[in-house]
Amino acid sequence: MEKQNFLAVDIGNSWYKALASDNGILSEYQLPNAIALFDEEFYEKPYDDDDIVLEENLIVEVKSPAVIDKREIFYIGKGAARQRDVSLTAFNNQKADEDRTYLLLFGMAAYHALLQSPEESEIHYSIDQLAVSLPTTQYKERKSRLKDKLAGTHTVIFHKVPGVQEPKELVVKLEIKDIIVGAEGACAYLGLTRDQETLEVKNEELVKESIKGIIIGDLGGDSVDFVGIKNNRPVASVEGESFGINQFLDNIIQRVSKKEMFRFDSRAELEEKLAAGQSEWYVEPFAGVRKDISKYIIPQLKSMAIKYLEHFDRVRSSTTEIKGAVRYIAVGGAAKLARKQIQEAAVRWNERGRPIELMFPQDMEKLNVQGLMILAKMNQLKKVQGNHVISTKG
Amino acid sequence: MFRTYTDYVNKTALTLPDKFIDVRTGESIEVLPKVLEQIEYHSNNSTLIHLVLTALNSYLQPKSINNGNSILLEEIREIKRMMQMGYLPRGNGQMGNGPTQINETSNLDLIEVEDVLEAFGG
Repeated sequence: MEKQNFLAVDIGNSWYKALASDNGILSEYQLPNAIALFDEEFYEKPYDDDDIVLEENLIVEVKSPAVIDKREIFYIGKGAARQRDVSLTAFNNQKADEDRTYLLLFGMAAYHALLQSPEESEIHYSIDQLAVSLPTTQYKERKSRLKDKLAGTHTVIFHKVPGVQEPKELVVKLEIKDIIVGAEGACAYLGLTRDQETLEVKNEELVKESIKGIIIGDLGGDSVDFVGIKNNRPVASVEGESFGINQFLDNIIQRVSKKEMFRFDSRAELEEKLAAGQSEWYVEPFAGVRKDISKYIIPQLKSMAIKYLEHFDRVRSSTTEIKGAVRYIAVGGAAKLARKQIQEAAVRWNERGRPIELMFPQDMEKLNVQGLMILAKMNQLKKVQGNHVISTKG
Repeated sequence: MFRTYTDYVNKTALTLPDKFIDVRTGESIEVLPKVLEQIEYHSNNSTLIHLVLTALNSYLQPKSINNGNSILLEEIREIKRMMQMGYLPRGNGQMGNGPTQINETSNLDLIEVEDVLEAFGG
């Protein structure tokens, strides 16, 4: 079979996570969900191109039918998070309708393409299968709209690319041949149970448990999605609640800014700190001054954990399809960050006689994107085997 | 013509002539525009003292690597490129350039594939 490129993107409200597979070689990326308008006037010329990390300096212009062409240039990802006019996701982000989705998604895909062929100044990159996710609330009604917008050819121009001659521009033409959309949470189940390479079931035990029922609670930036799995397929998705870690991060940022005179550039910066562990939970408002911020973090994580379990409990008692669910699984980046607090809160539920024993799988923050990659590969498989009836290659 | 560059923050002042004498060879050399540009940049950036010390440091303590070992540099560049590509070794430790393409060798049958696609995707 000729060369195949797959791309799976989990478009989260705090991070975009992507897995790319080019002829079997895997690459992994994550980008804060942040954009900011680029203004030439305020651009600080770097002292030396070698000091610039491209990933932190993605300045893109997107020409695509998916976005209205205003000839605007944006910082995306880490670079955007550092700008003063950074735009983070608003509450109730409608992913299929917002330009930011396409700016970030195409920008990320083009960045990947650029790393594949670093020597060229005009790159053509085709994606055989693109898999993207939507929250359960948006999945049913918006998926065809999302697909329509993603299909076809899109041009991404990178500006101010370090190491490239004036005018420091690179052009990437993306061709997206086929798209599949998955629902957040449900994809995590695929990631949990199936092998990335062979696509076969790798976790028989979990599949067996799904006969009785499994509930997955995917805690993200602005939404928590619950999916019920029965007999190895999703049977119930509980409308994603608008509840996630972002509001708690914003509270922490506000308090630290007020009390400790330290301003985080973005939620992503704080999240990286949280992920690094408690030994990193301090800020340096002035050189040499270390301020412990765990007293702002822990109460917020605690109250998020309590609410998360409340949602979980409500869901398990309200869904009739999976009444006798035997396993509850926590997934998503936010659940990973607050794992300790969630486990502590679970003890209290136990004392109250309504135990919620959650399972915290490995790589729980990456399961959605892994599941999406599996979907992408399967979609291709279906296409190829479908054609196989006509072509007789053995 | 002399020009003085100052960095008030760190109390550094540097007065530059048009030409200077190389202390190692005794030759008289013109100050390069590139040097002027850098000094200007760093005095504006309040890092003049660091530029001077960096220059002195590399002058007095030249790195041994600097004898044109281009093969080594090429290697490093290649490693950097691989790192930027986010190369991921597989779970079982094998590097992935074998016949990892999904194709007819997969043991999945089309019915199972269609079933999963129908249940999880759209």
